Amino acid sequence: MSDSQIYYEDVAVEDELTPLVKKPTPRQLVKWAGASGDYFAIHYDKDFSATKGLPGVIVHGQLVACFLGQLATDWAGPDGSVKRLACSYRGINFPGQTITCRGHVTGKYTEEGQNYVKCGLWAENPAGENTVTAKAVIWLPSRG
Amino acid sequence: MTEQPYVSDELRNRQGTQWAIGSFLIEKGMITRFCRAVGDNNPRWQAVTDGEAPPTFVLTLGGEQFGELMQNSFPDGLLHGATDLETHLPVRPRDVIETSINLSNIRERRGAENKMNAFVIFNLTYQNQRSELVATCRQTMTAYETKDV
Repeated sequence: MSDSQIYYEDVAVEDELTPLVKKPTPRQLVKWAGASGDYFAIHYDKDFSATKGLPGVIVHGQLVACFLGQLATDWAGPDGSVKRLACSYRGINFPGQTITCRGHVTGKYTEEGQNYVKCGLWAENPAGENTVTAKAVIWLPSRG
Repeated sequence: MTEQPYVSDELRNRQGTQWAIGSFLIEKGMITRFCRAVGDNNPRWQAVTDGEAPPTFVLTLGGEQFGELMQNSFPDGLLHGATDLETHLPVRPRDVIETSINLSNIRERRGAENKMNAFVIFNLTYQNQRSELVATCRQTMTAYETKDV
């Protein structure tokens, strides 16, 4: 996380967001269940997960979405704000595995005097597969 | 014997309707708990006087009620398919957020191995105590049949 502010004028298409590495543990999944209210047993009971056709306990998809949200807010700086985060859950993450959150700038535009940056974000598992992908729209301040 | 419908009539009858999930008084501790669960130690979320919640925090407001509705409707397999969150205003401690939900669409199909799948789309709306729109979220849930048919 950077304390410094990034400004709209300083951003270029293809710029990379600083990667964010996570390694959710079973303990973190319990904490997320408490914070989010998602108590579905596929996230803490491996036998229950097996009855649902899953190979084990899996990480909550929305926790990974929040990791991508953190990637975006860290990059946006203290005055930027994430206006949209559209996630698709494409694969499964398992507790104890590293999740690397990455992103790059795909576009920038001004609308009604406000400056927005579009980003493509994704969460990679250790095999390099993108388990969650997202499109984000981030408002950034101007040096103006 | 009549086959049990994969999508219950109760859920199907809610299609196109909107109902309230709950009203949530935002306490600083809720935001802190959320940040600790995500592992997000950005000081922006920890300011005592003018703190705000991370944009994804609203996903938790009504999350338990939403999860119970889905798990009761689809006791077999269920996963998140997509989450499309739009934020309009920050959520701050002492806000009161009303979460309402609209069941937008249910699509069923018979997939591989003759098992049923359903894609269920909900639109959630979050309003604060001043009736201002704070955020909207479109959730796509994927339900799948696990038992052999």
